[in-house]
Amino acid sequence: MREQDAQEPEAAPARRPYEPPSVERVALRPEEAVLGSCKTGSTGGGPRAFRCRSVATCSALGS
Amino acid sequence: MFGPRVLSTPAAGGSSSTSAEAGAPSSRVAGYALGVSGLVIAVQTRRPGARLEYVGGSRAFLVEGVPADLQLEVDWRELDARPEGRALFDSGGVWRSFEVEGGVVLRFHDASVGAFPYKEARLDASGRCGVVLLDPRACPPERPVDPLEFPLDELLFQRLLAARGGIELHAVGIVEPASGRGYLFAGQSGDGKTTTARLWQETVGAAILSDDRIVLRREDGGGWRMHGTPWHGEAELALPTSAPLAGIFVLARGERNALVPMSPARAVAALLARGFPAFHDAPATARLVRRLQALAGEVPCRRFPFVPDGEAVRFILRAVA
Repeated sequence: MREQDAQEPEAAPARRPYEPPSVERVALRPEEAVLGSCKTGSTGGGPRAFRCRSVATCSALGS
Repeated sequence: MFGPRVLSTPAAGGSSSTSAEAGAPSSRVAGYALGVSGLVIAVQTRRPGARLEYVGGSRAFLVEGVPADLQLEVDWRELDARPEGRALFDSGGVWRSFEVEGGVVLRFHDASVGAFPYKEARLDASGRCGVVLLDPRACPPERPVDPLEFPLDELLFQRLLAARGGIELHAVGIVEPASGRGYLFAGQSGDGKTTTARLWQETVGAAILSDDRIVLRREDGGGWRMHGTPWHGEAELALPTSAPLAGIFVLARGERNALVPMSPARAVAALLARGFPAFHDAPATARLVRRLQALAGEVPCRRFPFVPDGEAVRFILRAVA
């Protein structure tokens, strides 16, 4: 008898229960992702605080 | 080809100083460099008397003396209302992109100025250099100007991240003070990012890398690192530092605190919806999905419905202990 035959058979790995494929709808928010809009109503710099100033002035507002 | 030139960084110019060191606009300022997640964009003008200053976000992200990944020369020129090249994308807001021979052009409009764009960013195909052209009818060169004013700064970093490997997410990044480990709380607008940032500050004095935008990049030795960005949220929290990423939580308003495991597929979908996919660029979007897949396979990702008080912080700390 070969050595490997004397070993206990390894337990088969537990199978995960079958889950059928499914399609789920995920809500994308393009208005938040494309950086196309100015955000108003707050102070300081950054996207949340961008003041939509008229570019005609093009002077720095500071942050 | 529009002939952008590779420039030296502003700090290498000797006589130039950055607006960061000046702390205020200075007639000597010829440019500045902005660093986010180890990537650097430098702008510089050779126009006598012109002044460039950064106003897009936290000035703590201004850097000096480091090589730039993207070099931009700034100049002034009247811009044509008619775009050239093939339209790639219309943001529906201030910017549109076009494919031209030898590169890409981003055009920025403001209806209050006129039909012509007030600014163009022309990038060569390598993505390493380009020019920013400002229309003097909108932006007189004798006035100080930020050529990278939002959203151009963030759009350019997104292009760099897409090319160099990185993921930007709508998220708050928290560094747990006791361990130095980083935890990412991803959320769309209204999910509680700013609330989460303030709770962690008040409850355990955590450092907040950003309360709105976080960049994730894979480390050379394995693992992921999260980086602060200058594009902060309502709490105006932004740090130019980073931390090893130890866990991802997808924020949701809840009746009680809970952690709900997410399959990698659901995690990828949730993070994609909180990211910045290039809707006009299918290969780039596919690369982003693959990066998110790698991230979700390597970092624990759980949904976190929470009640907005200090117990939410202690709940997470017990869970990750």
